[in-house]
Amino acid sequence: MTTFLHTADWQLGLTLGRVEGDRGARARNQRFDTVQRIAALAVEHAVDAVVVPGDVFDDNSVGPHHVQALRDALRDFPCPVLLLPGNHDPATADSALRRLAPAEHGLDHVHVLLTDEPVVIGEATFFPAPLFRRQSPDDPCAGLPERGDDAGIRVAVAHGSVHDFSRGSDPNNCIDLRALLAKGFDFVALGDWHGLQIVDPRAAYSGTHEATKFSEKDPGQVLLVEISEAGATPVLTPLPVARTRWVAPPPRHLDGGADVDALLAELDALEDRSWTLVQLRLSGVLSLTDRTRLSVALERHAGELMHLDADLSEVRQQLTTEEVEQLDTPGFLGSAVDTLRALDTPDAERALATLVHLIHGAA
Amino acid sequence: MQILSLEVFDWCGLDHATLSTFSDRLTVVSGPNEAGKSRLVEALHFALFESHRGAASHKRELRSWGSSAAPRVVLRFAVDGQEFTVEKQFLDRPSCTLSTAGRTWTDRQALEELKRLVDARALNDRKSVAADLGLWPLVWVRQGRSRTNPSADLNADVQSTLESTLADQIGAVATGPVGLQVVDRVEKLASDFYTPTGRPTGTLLAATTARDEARERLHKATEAVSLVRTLADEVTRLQAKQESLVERERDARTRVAQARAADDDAASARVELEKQELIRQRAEDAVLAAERALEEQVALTERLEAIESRLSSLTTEASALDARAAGLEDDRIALDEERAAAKLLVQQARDLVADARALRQHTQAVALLEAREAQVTTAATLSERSTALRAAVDASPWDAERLQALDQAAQAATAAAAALAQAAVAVRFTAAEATTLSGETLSAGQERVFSTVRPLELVLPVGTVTVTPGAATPAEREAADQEARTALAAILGDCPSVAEARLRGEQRRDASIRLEECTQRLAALVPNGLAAAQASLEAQRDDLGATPTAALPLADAEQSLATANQSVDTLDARSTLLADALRDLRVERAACDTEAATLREEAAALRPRLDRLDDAETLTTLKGEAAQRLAAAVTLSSALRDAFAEAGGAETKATLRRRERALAALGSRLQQVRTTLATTVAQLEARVGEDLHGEVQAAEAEVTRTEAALCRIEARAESLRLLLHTLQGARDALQERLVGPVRQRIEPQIRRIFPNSRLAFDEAGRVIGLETGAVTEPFEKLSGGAQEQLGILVRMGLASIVAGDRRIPIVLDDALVNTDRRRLEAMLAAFDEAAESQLQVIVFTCHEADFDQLGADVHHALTGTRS
Repeated sequence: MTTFLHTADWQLGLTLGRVEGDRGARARNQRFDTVQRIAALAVEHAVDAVVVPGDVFDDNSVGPHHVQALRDALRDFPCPVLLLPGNHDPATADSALRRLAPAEHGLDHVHVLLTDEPVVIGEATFFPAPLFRRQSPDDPCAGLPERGDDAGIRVAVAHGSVHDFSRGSDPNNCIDLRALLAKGFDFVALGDWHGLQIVDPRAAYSGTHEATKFSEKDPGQVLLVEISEAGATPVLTPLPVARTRWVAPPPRHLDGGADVDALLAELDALEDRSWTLVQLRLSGVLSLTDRTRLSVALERHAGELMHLDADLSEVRQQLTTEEVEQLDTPGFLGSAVDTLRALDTPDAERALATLVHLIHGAA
Repeated sequence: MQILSLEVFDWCGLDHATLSTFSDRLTVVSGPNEAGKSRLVEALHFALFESHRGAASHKRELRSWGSSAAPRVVLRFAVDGQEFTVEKQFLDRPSCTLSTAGRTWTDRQALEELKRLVDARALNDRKSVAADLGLWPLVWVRQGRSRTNPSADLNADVQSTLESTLADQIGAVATGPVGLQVVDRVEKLASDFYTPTGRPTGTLLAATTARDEARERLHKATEAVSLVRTLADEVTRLQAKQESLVERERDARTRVAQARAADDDAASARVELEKQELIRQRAEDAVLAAERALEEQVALTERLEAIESRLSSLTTEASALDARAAGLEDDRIALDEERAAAKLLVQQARDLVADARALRQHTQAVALLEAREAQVTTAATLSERSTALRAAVDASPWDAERLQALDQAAQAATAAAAALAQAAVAVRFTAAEATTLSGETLSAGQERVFSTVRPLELVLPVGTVTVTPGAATPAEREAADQEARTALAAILGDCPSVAEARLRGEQRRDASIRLEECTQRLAALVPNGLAAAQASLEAQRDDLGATPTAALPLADAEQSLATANQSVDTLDARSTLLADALRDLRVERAACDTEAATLREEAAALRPRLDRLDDAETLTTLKGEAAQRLAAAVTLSSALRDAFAEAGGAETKATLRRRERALAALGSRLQQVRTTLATTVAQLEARVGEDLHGEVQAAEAEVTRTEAALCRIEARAESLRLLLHTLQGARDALQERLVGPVRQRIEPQIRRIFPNSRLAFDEAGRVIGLETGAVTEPFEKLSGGAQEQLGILVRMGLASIVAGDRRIPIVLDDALVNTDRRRLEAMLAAFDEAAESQLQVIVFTCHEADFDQLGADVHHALTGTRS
């Protein structure tokens, strides 16, 4: 029987540049804090090990403070922690994991898997398949040994895209999962895919512990893996761990004030707002009043949320008849309003909004 | 509004002055300088627009010098047909009274009512007069103000009124203050993004610069990361290279050790092989020596036997040779006898040939002599013929030259006769009855014909007939004819006619030809002359002598001589062959002797050597024993050679040297790689401590942020530009429409003075000058005359537009002082037209005569001077 936590793609050192200021700093630091939350889960579930198959760091050129922050976070783990080089932090000469040097910093329970030397922990043997380059057309697991006479629990630790899973994506670092499982592994702990994805009863991507972008599906979890004996089907239990929430609803078409009201109501209903990042892709046609109302409201939400990425480039504005009548534009101003309305381009819409604003201001 | 009358008391030096009436059309107030025109204009202004209160300097100046009386003005005017009188007193007991039919206002109420009547915003604030007096600054052209741009006197109220009026006229809404504010605001907003020429500036330029700088930072950060990755890859590559080289160096060392051991083994094998090779060589020499001894013994024996045999043969051959020599000697003697007999026969044949040849020569000489005699005879005949022909030729004078002269003379005579014949007259006389003619008697029917070139008289019994030829020169022609005849006769000489002369000439030419032929044949037959030939012939006859004799014909004799010579030659050949054979026998015989002697010497020399050698059997035994020893040595050498080759042979040292060099090269390369690796690792370690990834991400975020900001700013800038262009376009279009009535009203008058120009307006619709073609001349750049002409015309035009249906006065104080006569006429016409519409034109001038043609309804001539 062996029990371990499978987590991956911590991408430590990722700055999340889109989130500016203090909120950006909180988001960045949270990636380390969540590592400590994983340590707490390790304690809670009394696991034999924690396996991190790749992309521990976002890049090998992260600064020394990131490396030290990881050292500090790793001290909280009660069990061996296996750190595998991935495509973001391959085992090159400048490897950040190499710089971690756990043995030199009293982290004897931390194993940096810079070679394919197996690591035996309890009843299980972990077979690492480290990446030595950021991109390689070769299967990183091609060299892992077959079971042979080994009667113990065998776990492959690898980073890359499995064949069936990555069809149409990057052809580098591709893993032939069928061939790998045919070698007699009880479980393949995979890294690279940032969302939780169980690709086989014996193989899974745990995903990243904290999301890095809106397009990721089911990030922010770790997998509790329990294998009773060699040959037994692993029991996989996802455990939520992320602190940040990344909300990216489908692109929404706004057609009038009611739609604006509905959208704003949904935004108002968001909880834990200071840890929530929202991406909005909006389109439609709004009156000047609704467009202004929407902009003002989004401005407010942008201030409250950890981050708001609202794309309103496809939201067109049209002066309603009432708005035109309210303008009271004598002389050439009325002519200019008519000209801009007839142009029906984004620039013309912006110009019209400015003109309306100025007319109101002058009046 | 219409001015009706003006009266002042104690006003700036005028004790009392009255302009009792003003025409509602044209009024001229003239007078010399200091007559009070401008003071009256000021009085008009004070009556309408100045507060009666206060003692500001401009009011204190109203008081007459040395007077204590308060300045006072009384003005009558009408508004919308209602007549009003305003009376104001300044400085002392200031007062203001406004009265109309049945009603009077005083003091402030009077001013308020007056303000309403003149449609002014305020009357008592001098600073804001221009801005608050509505239309009046435009139509109140004080002295020296006529050259001012009318737009300067166009305050906001009038501008607005004008725009509204014009807008009403064209059915559009005027720009209004809101529109102007908006345009002004948009221009200010746009100026933060674009320069007036459309180049980015301000916020837009800053955003572009920020974006470019962010990109540059990102580029540098990315390059730094790329450099580190390159270094890391290089370290990995060098480490792999180092490991490979270490492994290869280890292998190279092993191979060097192996080569060295193989070389040692090969050296030992080579020593053993060399020893055995000496043994084998000695055995081989022994075999060779035995073989040579045996071969020598056999050869010597065989040679001695051959020598003996040859000596025996030589003895036999010598005997045979001697016998053959004796036979040949006998043959030689017999042959010599045959040769002597044959030579005698040859001599006899030669004599017979000589006789035969002498006879043949004599016969040939006789034949030649006979032929020569025939030639001499022929030559004699030819000589005689030649003599006769030469005599004939010499006797005839008709050679070719004379015949040519004859032809010429005959032609000349013929020509002269013809000429004479042309001049001659022919007279035929036929006697009708018997008569005499020049003494000759003629019977009836008898005729006489006369031909003459000279006058001829025919004497008849009844008279004389004189015939005179008609030619002009008969005498000369006759003389020429005679001369030609004389010349021809001289050439003919005794020859009777020209034809005869020509016949004789032909005969002479034939004789000459035949003479030439005879001479040539004679020269061929007797080149030295006939006499010499005859003498030579005679001498040859004498030399011929008697006829010789011969025993045989020459051919037979020559045949006999050839036969005898052939016999002698055959015998000589046989004699030579015999001598050669005899000599060869003697040589052969000597050779036999020589060879025999040589063989005997050789045999004598060989016998001792043969005696020193063992016999053949013994030598054969020795040779067999040596061959056995050699076979054993060869076998052993072969085995040792195989062993040497198996140990590497001669290649071991080269292999060892090659491998040692390879090891050294690998060591050197390994050292280089280690050095490079250490350097690269040091470079890498120097950079990995930096947070390059953070810098890249920060730069990326900055690029994203600046790009987004720039995008927003560009959109903002573009929208502002679009807005500004749209507003300006709309405003320009509206203004163009608005100024249309102004143009329509003013430009007919403008064209009278400036025929090729039209008004130029600014964006606010204010007149700013004149447009001539594509060039705009600002008002301020026009000449002084043009300024006052254009200014007055524009003022009148704008005033009439703003006044609408109302009648308003326009006051011009010395307004056209810079205008020439031609333009003045045009301006007067313009005044007249303005007065015909709704302007009350009041002109104050010191050039009274200039306005004689105006046709003013009222003319006040001032005469007073400043008191």
